[in-house]
This record gives sequence, structure tokens and C-alpha cells, in this order.
Amino acid sequence: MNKQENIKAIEISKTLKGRSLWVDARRRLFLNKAAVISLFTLIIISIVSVFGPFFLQYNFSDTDWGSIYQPPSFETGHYLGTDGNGRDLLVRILHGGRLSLSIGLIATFVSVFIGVLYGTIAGFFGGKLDIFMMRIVEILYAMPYLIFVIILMVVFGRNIYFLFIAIGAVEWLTMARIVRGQTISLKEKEFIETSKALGQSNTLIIVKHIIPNLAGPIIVYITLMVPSVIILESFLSFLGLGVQEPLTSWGVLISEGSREMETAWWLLIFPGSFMVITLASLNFIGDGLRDAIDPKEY
Amino acid sequence: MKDKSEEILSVDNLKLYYPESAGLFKSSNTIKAVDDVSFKLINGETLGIVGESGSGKSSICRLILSLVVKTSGKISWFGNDLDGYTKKEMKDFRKKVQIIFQDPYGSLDPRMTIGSIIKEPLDIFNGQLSKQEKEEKIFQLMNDVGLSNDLFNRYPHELSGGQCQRVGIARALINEPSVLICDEPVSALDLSIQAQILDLLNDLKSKYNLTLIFVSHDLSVIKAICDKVLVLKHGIIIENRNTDDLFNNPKDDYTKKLISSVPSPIPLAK
Repeated sequence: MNKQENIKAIEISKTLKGRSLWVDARRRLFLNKAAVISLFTLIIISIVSVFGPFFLQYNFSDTDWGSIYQPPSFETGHYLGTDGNGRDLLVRILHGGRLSLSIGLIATFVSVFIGVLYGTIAGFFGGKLDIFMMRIVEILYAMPYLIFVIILMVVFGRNIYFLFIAIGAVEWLTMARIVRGQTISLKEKEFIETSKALGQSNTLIIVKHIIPNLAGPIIVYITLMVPSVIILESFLSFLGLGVQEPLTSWGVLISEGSREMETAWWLLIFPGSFMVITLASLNFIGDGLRDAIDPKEY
Repeated sequence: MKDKSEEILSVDNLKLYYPESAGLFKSSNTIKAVDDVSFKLINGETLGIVGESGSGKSSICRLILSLVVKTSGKISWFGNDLDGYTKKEMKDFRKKVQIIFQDPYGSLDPRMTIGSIIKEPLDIFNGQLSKQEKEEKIFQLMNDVGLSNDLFNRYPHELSGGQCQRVGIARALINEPSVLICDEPVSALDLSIQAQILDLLNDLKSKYNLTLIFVSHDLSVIKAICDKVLVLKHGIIIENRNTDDLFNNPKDDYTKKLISSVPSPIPLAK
């Protein structure tokens, strides 16, 4: 074979693609009906929350004293009714959805970032560093997180960005523990030893080998963490520590609705349903992903 | 051409002790994984290390590669003590000494394609090569170890154990090392594949001028491939002799027992 032919043969063989573990996982995920339906539901809720308010005639902060506590009706255009200030509930739910979902995503991202970094370092280097880092995690675990968040809010003021960070800073502990455990079992694998024998730098071993192999458990944990973050935000809002008027979130809406549920049932039922459907979807997706990504282990 | 009898690697009084943590208030014992081991590796030979499980065979391999920190002793590369090596010299050493492991699947990253697995050592040591040069090298190596080109974009879980072991060998050889440490490379494979891989190692040995350290608990494998054999027991070398000598006239009782315990379907020729 001359060089030209050789190169050609190489190009041809490179077109043959293997099935990566991700492709396998995606196939298994799409075979899971509950997960697929949940995925669609979640996508629809997100799209409607983001774009819906542009197509509605009311603004989320406009009060209308003429239509206080209107029940759901198609004639007035208040499809889900109005609240005690005459504001349209549907718009408020969609706006609340934007906030709740973005808190869920951003706070989760913050905690995954901190947790993965912390966990891989502790797990990979081991020894005294590991002991020291994990004791810190345990000390933080022992602190009542609510007090921690309240202190943060008091010190930094009730800024919604601090809400993101405060929640993220609380939620990373579990992530760090999970990642550390997985890293310890991974680093004993022979392909990591081979990399070390090759003189690969520790940073590159973590980036190239450890984190890609951790991606499965991390993704699963993300889908389970987003709902818990949304609930945490709702709880903080319920206590009046969360989002401030006229901004709103599902937690705020539910908290207001629960006060009026005897006179205006729609104020509790509708935001509540949105939240329940979203959380259930996320949990089903998480379940599906867990089965899809590592069918052996579960 | 290098002198045939040149000494590449020498190991002197190597020790690896682990403290056995026996709880908070008990005094701790030490486990002697490798105890006062000395041997020399001559250019071009195949040195077998044999012993039962836990006799310290793999520990010696890991010590040579500085994957574990030794308790005491000296490892010298062409007469220079590894302890005195700078970072750069250590990198050169790592390029020259490669290892393949027992578990064919465990030694390949399941998230990477075969091509990128074999490429990893090139990225570390030959970063200046162009993408195409690297690929040519990868394909040449894949041919050398008997892997079909189609496997370039495949993943380890799509390959058989024997193929995975070949990938491991290709990765180890891509930077043309002078010493290849084989830590039980065929123990996890079935007999016919074992024979293929042993043949392959033999071929590659002459093609790449390799010096092999071959670890095994299987004496028939050792007999087939090694020039010299170390017999290890509890971290201590009890025999260090030529293979023929050892099999024809074992001195130590333990060696005799090992030889007579081989349940080989191919009877050891006398």
C-alpha cells in the first residue's frame, strides 16, 4: 500500500463510529415512558414560563382594584383568576416559574461546581488532605442549614442573587460526599494507574479521566437536586426570606394561596399543581437517567 | 547497537512496608509486602516474576514505576538512582518504562474511544506531532498489535478481552519504550487468547527491542516466555535463576511445590 492509499484507508475506517456509553444511555432513557413523558412536560412548562407572559394581556405586577379575587373565567381573560390585588394569576404563575426554575438551575449549578471540585480533590489526593476536607464538610453538615441561610440573608441583604448562592452553598455538601466516594473507587482503577505511570499530571487525570467517569452519578444527582432546591426556595419564601414583591416564585404564590384557600381556592390549587407536576417530572427523569446511565449498578 | 549484556535497571534491597492499622489502642504491625528484594534487568532479556497471590509481585512493578512510595532501597536506571531524578528526567524515565495490567477492561477508560486511549501517551510525550502524524502512528501500532482499523472509534465495552489487552499493549508501545512491565497480562484471558497474546508479546519484543518484566502466577506461561525467573514468597526472593535451571532442578522446597502444582493441560516437558 502506498502512502496515499494508506491515508485513504485510515479515513474510511475513521468514519465507523462506535456506540459510546452515552448513546447507549440515551437509547435506554427513551425507552422509559415515564421519563420521556416527564421530559416533555418539563420542556413545555419551561417554554411556557419563559415565553408565555409575552402573549398574555396582563402584566404580572399590574393591580386592578375592580377585579379582586376573581375566580377563573374565560370572559374576563383571567384564565386562572386573580389574587387579592387583582393581579392575573396565570401571568404570576408563569413569572414565578421563571424564577423557581432558574433558582433551581443556578443554585444547582453552583453546588455542583463547588461539590465536584471539592470532592474530586479530597478523593483523589486522599490522606490527610482528605480527612481535613471531609471534617469541614461534616462540621458544615452539623450546622442547621436554615440558620446558615438566614444569617447569610441578614448579612448580605435580601438580594435574590444571594439567595442563589446561599442555597448553592448549602446544597454542595452532599454533592461533595458523593463525588469523593466515587473518585476514591475510580482512582483505584487500572486506567488511572496507567495514566499515572505515563506521568500524566494530576490535573489532567482528574479532568480527562475522573470527571467524565463521574458524569453519570453527577447528572442523576442534579435532576434530584433541582427539585430539592426549588422546595428549599419555596420554604424560604414561605418564611418571608425569599423573593420580594412584586417579584414572585411558586413558593411565594403557594404561601399566599394557603392563607386564602378557604375563600379563593384557585390561588393555592394552580401554583401548587404547577410545582407538583414540575417536581414529579424531575424525579421521574432522575429515575430514568439513573437506570439509563448505569444499568448494572442499580 | 547497545551491548547485549548491558544492565538497564537494577533494584537493590528494595523494601515496601505497610503499617497495619490495628485500631486506636493496639500497637500496629507492619506488613512486609516487599522485603529486601534485589535483582538486575539485562538489556533484551525477559525476566519472569512468579509467586502466589500476595507475594509482592505487583508491588514490585508499582515500585519500579514509582506508583507507590518505597520504604527503602534503591532503584537505578542505567546506573543512576531514580531518587536523584529531576522532574524532567523522571518524565523521560516514564516514557521508557511502560506497564500493561491484568484486567483488560479495567485498564481502559470506558468513556474514551480506542483511538484516543492509544493517543494519550503521544499527547503527553510527543505534543509537537501534528494530528495526522499522531493518527498515522496510532494506526501503525494498531496494525502491529493485530487490531483492525475499524476499531479506531469504538469503545472498550464493544471489544473482547483479548482485543482490550491488545489496546493496552498498543498504548504502552506507542512511545517505543525500552522496558515493558507485564503485570499478569494473560491471567484474565482464556487459554487460546493467552497463547495469542504471548506470541504477540514475543513478536513485539524483537520488533521493538524490548526488555520484558513478566509477572505471572502461572508457571507454564513463565516457562514459555522467560529467560530468567524470580520466585517470590511473602515479599522475599527465594530463587533467582535461569528458567531452564529452575525447572530442571529446583532447589527450594517452595519452588518444587509450585512446579509440581501446575495443573497444566500441556505437561511440562522434561
